[in-house]
Amino acid sequence: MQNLKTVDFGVAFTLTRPAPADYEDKDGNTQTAAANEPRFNYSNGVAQGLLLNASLSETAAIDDVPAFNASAGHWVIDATFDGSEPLKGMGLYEQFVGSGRMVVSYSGGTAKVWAGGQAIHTVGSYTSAEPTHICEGGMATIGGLTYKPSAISDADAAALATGDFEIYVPFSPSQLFSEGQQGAWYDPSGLATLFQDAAGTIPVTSDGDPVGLMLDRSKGLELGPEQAPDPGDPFTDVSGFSAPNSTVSIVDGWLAQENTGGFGRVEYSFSVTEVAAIVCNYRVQGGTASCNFRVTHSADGIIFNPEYVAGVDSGNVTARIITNPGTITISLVNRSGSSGTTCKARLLSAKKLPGNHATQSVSASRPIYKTTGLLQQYDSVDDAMNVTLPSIPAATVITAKATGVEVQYPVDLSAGSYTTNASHSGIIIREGQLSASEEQDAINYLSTQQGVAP
Amino acid sequence: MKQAEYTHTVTIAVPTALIDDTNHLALLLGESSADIKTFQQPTYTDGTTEYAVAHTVVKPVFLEPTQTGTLPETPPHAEGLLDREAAQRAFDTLNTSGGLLMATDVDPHEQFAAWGLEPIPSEEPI
Repeated sequence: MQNLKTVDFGVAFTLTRPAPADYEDKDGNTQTAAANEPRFNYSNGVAQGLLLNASLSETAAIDDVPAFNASAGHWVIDATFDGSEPLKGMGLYEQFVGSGRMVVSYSGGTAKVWAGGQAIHTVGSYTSAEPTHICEGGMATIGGLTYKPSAISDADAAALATGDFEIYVPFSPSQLFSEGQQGAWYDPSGLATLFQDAAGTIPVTSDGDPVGLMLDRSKGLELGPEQAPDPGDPFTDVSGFSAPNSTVSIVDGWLAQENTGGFGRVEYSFSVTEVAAIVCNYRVQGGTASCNFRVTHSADGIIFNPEYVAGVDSGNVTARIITNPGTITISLVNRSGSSGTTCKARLLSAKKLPGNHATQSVSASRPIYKTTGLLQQYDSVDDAMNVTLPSIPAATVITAKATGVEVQYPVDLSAGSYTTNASHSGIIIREGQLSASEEQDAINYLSTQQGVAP
Repeated sequence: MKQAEYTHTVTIAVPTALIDDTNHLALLLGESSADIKTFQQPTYTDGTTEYAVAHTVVKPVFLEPTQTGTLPETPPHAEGLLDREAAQRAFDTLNTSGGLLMATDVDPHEQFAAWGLEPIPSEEPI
């Protein structure tokens, strides 16, 4: 190979371990090596230089990996990775699984990971890692580790990289919905998905807060495109709005409405084809009239109608309004019917948030968020969370309970609704029966949630 | 994590005859227009009277009327829905004989038993 320079192990870098660690000697006995003392582990029947091995009670990772040349250098690693942490000391923030020989090459600010004769991962804008641990833990056995401060060609790296490795992607329940399957995933460990009110304006932040809205994570919590012709903040063009009984102009970035008599408002509409949340960001200010931000559904009528503001600024407000399919109208409403009265808005945004989100609009019937025991606790009196779902004749429902993870199949959800009224730390609802591996992955995942018996 | 605002719990039992009035009280003291539907079907009985029940966390402000004897101003969420007279009627029966029952910071099921209430058996499918 060209451009390679062989140097002594200690010339390339120095490895230290700040604390004692265990290893298995040739007689099969567990021994403890002092700090910085090399270990040779015989657990596989042959002497193996043991740099990291959590299975033998490794308590300290290798420290002081030197800064290395990210423009021209490479590592050659003989290792077994099984649930190991990312190789941050090499500037890699992914987890790998597999065994054999891996090569990591650096060239011109790009890092490539090679295995099985090909590049399995590329870091396009590699930043030289700070000297740190190579790997901070997990099941990693590194039998040999060589760094050479010289470039290596792709062909040479591929030839050297004979091991079998791949990037390890931890299981997430979202994988159960990756092909558009219907259902829901409620994760009460994620405070970002919990709100005290059904309209989603007040986040859950404290132990004991009630939960009125629990967002469904099965669709990825990805906001859809902006629905407003101009969301504002500041407004630049109001030509896309309709303005019944109103004249509209822009003043200093605000949308200014003036009543011409009757029910004055400025609004826009869009259609919703499946049950979803509409995430609204608004800021309105009453002028000579009180006004508010209103959401109306073509069949259900007014579905969000917060307090009117008169002469004051509402400030920026975010609401999450659950809606059925239909036409949604977003309005800045002037409460006065009198000609010449005014109000204005700085922000009138609406975006769809797909998912089967669960709500409880009656204050007394909301479950509570807890930081001890199960994450979402119901009082066994009147608490319940409700969700409208597409009709699912045979669903799998997996619930993280204090007694363990419960799997139910088939559950008839053909009525298009589901109510939960028992304490839990997570629920997955999915159409159809899960495969054995999917079910086991889901059980393993939920069994790690707070308060769930293993 | 912020300090909790919901620092109390209340347990409430409402005789069937007072359900409508008490729902207006719930609307007045609650946080949502949907609170007009707080009490619906009775699920407990003392042998002669049936009760609808609720148990919930509340902020200290919820308990102020029980200390001052005065109901609060109508909140925005209750405008157009609230019958203040009905709410006052319900409030006036609080913890009186035949009136609505309320206890603070207790286990709801123990309190139902202390009030002599038992769950109404649900009908089993044939």
